[in-house]
Amino acid sequence: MDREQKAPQVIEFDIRGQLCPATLLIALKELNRCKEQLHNGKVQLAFKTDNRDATITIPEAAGNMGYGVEVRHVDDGYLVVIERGH
Amino acid sequence: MKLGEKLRDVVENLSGANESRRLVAENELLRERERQAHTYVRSKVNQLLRVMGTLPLRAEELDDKTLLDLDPIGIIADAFDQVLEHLNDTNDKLKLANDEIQAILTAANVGILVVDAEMKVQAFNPKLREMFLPAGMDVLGSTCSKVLCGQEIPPPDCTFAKIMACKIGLQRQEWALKGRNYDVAAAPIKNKFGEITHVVLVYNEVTDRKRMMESLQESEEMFRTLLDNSRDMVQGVTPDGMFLYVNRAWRQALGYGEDEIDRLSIHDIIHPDCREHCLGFFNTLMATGRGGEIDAVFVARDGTRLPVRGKISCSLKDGKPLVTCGIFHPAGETGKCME
Repeated sequence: MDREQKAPQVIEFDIRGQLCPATLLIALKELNRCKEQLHNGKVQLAFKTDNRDATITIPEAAGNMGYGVEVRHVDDGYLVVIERGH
Repeated sequence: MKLGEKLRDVVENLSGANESRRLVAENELLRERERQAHTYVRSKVNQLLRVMGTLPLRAEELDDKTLLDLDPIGIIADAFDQVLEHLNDTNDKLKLANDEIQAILTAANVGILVVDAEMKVQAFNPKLREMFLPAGMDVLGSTCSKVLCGQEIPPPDCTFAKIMACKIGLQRQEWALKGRNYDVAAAPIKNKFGEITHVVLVYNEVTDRKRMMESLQESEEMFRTLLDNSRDMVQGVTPDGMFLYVNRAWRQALGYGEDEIDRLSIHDIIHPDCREHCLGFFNTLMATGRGGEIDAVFVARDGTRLPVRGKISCSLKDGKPLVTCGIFHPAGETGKCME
């Protein structure tokens, strides 16, 4: 029997105004805190940032931790979306 | 100690000035230790941040108090824990994939050879050893031209050299080596910069197939010669009525060139007076597979009537008609058209 997969809850963090490496530390702290929910696909973390370095450091670190990462352009910067790895 | 100094010491002890100086000195020492501890923590955090691939902390971004409150070492340690967990998972998957590849290599009934960009043998499967290598000979690290072709310099038609030049996979048919023939499929493995790091070569021995094909071609040539020298008209027709083959006597009798046969159908050469009879015979043949003798009237390319008499049989494959074979000879101007 097919079980309907619930869409993950998106938890958004506004870290605009923060620079690297503070942005990375914040992201890592949340990735550690939400590890279980991320692994079972219940949540996605979305970090809104205006720091270009963060669009490189956060995806690279999250990728090394086995998560799937997508960086989207939004009006006032970038949205780094992290979810369960594939 | 002089008397005056002793008296001043007593007075300062009584007034607490000595204790105050000691405390100030101790305080300064503690502050220095705390400053050194913060410097140490900051340097270790920066070291870990470099490992994570990011910039060092800026003092204006995180003051010493915030540094301790945020606990970056704890954050990065937990992150490393996840990185290690992921690496372990990845290693497990890689091991499984490696085991699967080894099983495939072992089970494959073709020779598989992996060489690096310098043409040196990195891996091969048991079938390749069986095909090319003496038992027990250690060839890892040797060049594949030496191992397979038996020469230091690669041959002019070297498949590896072609792959390195064109950078895409290729297939070669009936590559010959030491009197045997192989179909060779080769594919490059590239790194993230698109550079070829390895080449995988797959050898499928086709010597027996090649010999069989040559034998078949010889037989076909012999039968073609026999048929072309026959006085009878011979034709092969598909179930949909198209000609697969006609011999020279057939072409000469009906006036068609060799290049016209592909476009001809059985309907083009049966005289209208005879069509119903012949098609009935043909349909019965298709339905039952049973052939027999037939009188018919053909029409030559120039419209001339050609009464013939002959025999038609049908070859079946999986119970279905594959081709009909007819052998005819002119029957004189009887005008008959009967089974």
